Amino acid sequence: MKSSFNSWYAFFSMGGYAFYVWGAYGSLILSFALGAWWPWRQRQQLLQKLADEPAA
Amino acid sequence: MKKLASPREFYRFSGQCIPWVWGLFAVAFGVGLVDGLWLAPGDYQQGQAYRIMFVHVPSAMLSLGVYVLIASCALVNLVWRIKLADVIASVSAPLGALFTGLALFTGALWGKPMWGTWWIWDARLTSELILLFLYFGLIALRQGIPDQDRAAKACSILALVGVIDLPIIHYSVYWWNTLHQQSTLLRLGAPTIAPSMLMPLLAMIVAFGAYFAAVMLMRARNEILQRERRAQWVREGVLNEIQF
Repeated sequence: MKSSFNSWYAFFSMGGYAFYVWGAYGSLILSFALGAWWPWRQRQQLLQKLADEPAA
Repeated sequence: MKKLASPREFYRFSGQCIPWVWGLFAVAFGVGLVDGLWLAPGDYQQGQAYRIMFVHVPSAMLSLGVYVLIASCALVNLVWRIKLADVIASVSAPLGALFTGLALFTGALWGKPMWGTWWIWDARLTSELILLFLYFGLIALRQGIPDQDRAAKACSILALVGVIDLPIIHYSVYWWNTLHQQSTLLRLGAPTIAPSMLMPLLAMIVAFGAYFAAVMLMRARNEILQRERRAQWVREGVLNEIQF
């Protein structure tokens, strides 16, 4: 599988559009990471809260 | 299928599905990133900036798809009063807002180098912004009404009223003279995109869909735990510390 870039510099510079391209992918990674972390954290808190609550 | 309408059964079934859906996401996302960022050739007009498409287009598609899901659940909840439908609708709204926000943000990043502007009051962009406001409205309405049944009904009605925005978003590029290009994939006839660019785009669409499914199921399980916290099966699960 051949890369469409000649060098790592060409890859990271994205033909002069680095800010826009890496900005888009960076926002994607960040939002996906936060979106996945949030329900995981919520579950930990919820299970703890349920365990601490007295039975009805 | 009827069994899955039971919160307990849905909770158990979704717990088994989540790892597989994350696995699908990991594979599709990896393939999409490598192919889209590394292997796919540059565009003859847009150069490397077009690679934003592999984030922007799946985000936009999911922003519409999630709303379709919410509206469908709203109808099921209103007509058949199936509570699970309301659970899915309520946990999907923030994810829909995330995809819509991502579509608008990456659209701005793509628009600046290509159109020379971050934003324009174009029919497509404006109707997508209205969709974001609809998602915010659903979230705010849910949180603003303390009674769960009344909140469910109000959000269901809002979701169904907002459906009118979806065909406006999709057909805006045909009905009006817009800066935004016309559809590449969701159109009559063959896709107007090279195969070397279509493959990573499809991979990213699958990845985004899998991501939504995985996170939605995780959020739905939390919501069910919260709503059913007094139920015996929840108390037993927590107290026995089983794989829950």
